[in-house]
Amino acid sequence: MSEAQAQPNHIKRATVLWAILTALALLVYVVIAPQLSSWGVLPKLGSKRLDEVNTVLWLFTLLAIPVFTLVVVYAGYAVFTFRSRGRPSGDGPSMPGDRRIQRIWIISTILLAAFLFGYGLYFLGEVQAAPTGNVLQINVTGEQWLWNYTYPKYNISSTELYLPVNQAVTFDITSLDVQHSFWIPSFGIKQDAVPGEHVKISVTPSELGDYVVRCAELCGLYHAYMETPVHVVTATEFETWEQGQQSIQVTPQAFAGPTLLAAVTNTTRRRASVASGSVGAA
Amino acid sequence: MKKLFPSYLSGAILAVIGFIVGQSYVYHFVGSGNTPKGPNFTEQGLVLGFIGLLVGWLIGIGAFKYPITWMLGLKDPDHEEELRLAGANTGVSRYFRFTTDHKVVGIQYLVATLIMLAFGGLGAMLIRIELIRPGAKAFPPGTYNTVVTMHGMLMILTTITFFIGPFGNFIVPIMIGARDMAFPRLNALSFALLVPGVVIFAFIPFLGYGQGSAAGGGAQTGWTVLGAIADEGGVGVTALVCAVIILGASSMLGAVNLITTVIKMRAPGMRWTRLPMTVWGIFGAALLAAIGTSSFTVDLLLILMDRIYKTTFFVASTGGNAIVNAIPNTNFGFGGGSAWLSQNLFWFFGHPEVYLIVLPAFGIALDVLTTFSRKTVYGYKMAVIGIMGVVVLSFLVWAHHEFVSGWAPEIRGVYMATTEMISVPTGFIFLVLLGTLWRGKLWVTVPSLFALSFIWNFLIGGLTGIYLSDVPADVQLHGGMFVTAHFHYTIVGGALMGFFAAVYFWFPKMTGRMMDERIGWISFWGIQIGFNVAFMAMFIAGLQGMPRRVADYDPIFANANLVTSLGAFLLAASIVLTFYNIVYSWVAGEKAVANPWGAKTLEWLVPTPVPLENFEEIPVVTGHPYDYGESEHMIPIAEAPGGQFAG
Repeated sequence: MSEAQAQPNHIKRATVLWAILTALALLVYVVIAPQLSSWGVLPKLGSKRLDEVNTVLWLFTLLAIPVFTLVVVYAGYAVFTFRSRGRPSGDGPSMPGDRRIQRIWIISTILLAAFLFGYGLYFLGEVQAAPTGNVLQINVTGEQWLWNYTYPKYNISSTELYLPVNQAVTFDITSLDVQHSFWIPSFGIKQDAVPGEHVKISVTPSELGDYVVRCAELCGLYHAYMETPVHVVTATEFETWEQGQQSIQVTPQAFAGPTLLAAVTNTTRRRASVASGSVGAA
Repeated sequence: MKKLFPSYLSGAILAVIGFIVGQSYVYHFVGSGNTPKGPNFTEQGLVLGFIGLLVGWLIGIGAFKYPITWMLGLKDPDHEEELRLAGANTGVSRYFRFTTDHKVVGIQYLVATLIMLAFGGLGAMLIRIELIRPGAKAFPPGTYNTVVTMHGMLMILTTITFFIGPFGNFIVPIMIGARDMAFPRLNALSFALLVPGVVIFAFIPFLGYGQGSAAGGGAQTGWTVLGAIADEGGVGVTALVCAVIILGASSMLGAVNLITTVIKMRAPGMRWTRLPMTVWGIFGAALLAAIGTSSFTVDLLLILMDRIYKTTFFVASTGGNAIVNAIPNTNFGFGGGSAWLSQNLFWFFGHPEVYLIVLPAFGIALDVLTTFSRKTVYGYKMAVIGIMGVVVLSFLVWAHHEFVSGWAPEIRGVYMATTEMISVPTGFIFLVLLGTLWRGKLWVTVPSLFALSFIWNFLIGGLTGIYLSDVPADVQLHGGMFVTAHFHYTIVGGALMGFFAAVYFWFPKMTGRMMDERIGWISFWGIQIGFNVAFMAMFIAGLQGMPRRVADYDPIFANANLVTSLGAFLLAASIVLTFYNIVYSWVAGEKAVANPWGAKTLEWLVPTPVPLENFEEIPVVTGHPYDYGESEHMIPIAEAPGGQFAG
């Protein structure tokens, strides 16, 4: 069969095309990846954890690019090279399946999955590891539609989160009503706040600045507005704030029904100031 | 009168009567003194009304007629009556009553799922209008949450039905050489349950206002209907729960029927190794539907009990929320239940459910591409093992939806492993697709284009799924727009493209007319461009840190959302074109020959329109369904009734 002689040629050409496209795509990705944070595609970096998460995303994209181009190049090559103009006049060649290719495919997908699993497991250990030494505990209570924080060590409470920089923090998270999800995108942490359950999650904020905590679980009417500021400040600033809170002694607040709309406008305003970076002063 | 009863008209009349009777029974006989009159339905009244609606409908369409005559031992229906029940010689009216012919049920399902798809798409458009700019300017958050819930749930109900319903009913029995489904009445019943389910679903946006409920009107739970928030929601949630219980029953009945049909009704010689890939895909999906849906139904029943009987399955003791506790008749915060229970029951259904949606699309993409490239499936066994491997593994991955829930953190590694393992059988399908295309003489038509777009889109959906299987990455991306973009790539990019491929592919067989090729091409490219633009931008919003299901958002997400909305509008406009194509071609399309694509599976070898009971004589299958490039055919061509080959 003349077709059988031409076949290796096509495979080779498609493979070369794949190699070139993959190399190009990888090159482009490696060049643009470090810029993603500054372009705002990835959140502002606030902790080492987010850096680790970004590394995972980076690595997975590096691995996904060759797989993606492999499928697209071979499918595209087949369509463009072998397609018939209009209704085909005869049948294609009989190719019931090549055992060798199938075996290679199966083994390589298993190896890829196994690698991802091993890598994930290694990181999972780090994520789950509880920090040792001097850890600041903060109790977080989700409630429709705000977060209440209490600092047992200082016996203070607040609806805005203040954290000293480079200080390991453990959040003890629960909810008073429905499920919420405590998400600080810039820290790379998220934990559902589940009514009746207390779950701990730890992080060490490493960059000074203002961030936000967002609710990531649909929790009813004003879910979209369950977004409050997070301030990472120096140890001395934190001490000043903590002293100030001592004299105020706020009791945990409730999101009161009649003032809902006012709260919404406040959040919107606050959001604008978060964007312009002026929230710390306000 | 004989024409009116039984029909859908009498069903609708009795359904309205049944609803009123159910409602007023509570209002006037069991309702307590403080039951408010007017549109503020009470929970109990509403549930009784829905039961009345369902029973009235089923009586009205005559679904109980034969079971009751049998039960009372009055008489067995003779063959003539069976044929009339199947819709023999009754023209168009057979589509508007309780008809047992699988082809009639298939067409009913096709029209119903298209209508559901249209309304689900309308919900998507409302969401994109709200999110085009920050500030929740289009409508208030309560309305937005209800729209999100209804869009999600309706689309899920549509997509779990739109293969098993239209194609599982119309195409699969003919494909395996059967005269009808194994249980024709059960088949008619599963469609008959779909209609009241959807009608009850349509109540949701009109319920629950003016109650002083903290949760507002409609149903603001999301399609996940997590226990705690479902317990708290207004009466719209009751409508949602009742509708989905009925639709779940419909789905389970249909699935059990299909499983039995594929196992028991295959023609002689139609071995398991000769089943067309579409049958394998739909069979796998039916297995998932039969097993998985029951778990969700249990979840919904427990929610209903929490809401009506004030049980506390999903109510933990938290001391309660002062505002919510101020609402009369809530036991919020004082129970002994667990919110995690609801999540587990839900996702044990919820994850197999996404494979339920996409497995038939695997099979259909393979069937369409073998037909149009005139080449056999590259590795038939590998494809079957891939599909069945996904069926088994999909029941072992559900807890990856709970990586951040706090439930059993010590077994997160196990679920990470099973989730990454499922990419292996899914990968089989990709190799088979590539091998089938390789050296094939692909005839580029609208169905083959849609099948090709399945490869591109589902590949992106699958690869981004691997990001989410990794716990540290999932902790960041979970509950955000990245997840939304990911599953839209699998469900819209995978399943919906498979559905459109199937519609364009089998339309000539189901309706006797060809779909317009030119409108199909325009629609196809609009769909691909709109879809990819919309959801690529959504991936970026997710990476930036935008949560899901928010009516309003931080201005930093504005650009990504603007692009998503514009892409979504193009996507919707292009889908409208395909809808127009369906309607136009059904009425005025070019008449189709029996086998316009030159395909080799059995459904193309019967005449168009397919006669009642499909085959005069049950065919004897002697070969593989995809023996392109070989001399033999699945059944000898001379014996093919009405068969004609163009190739």
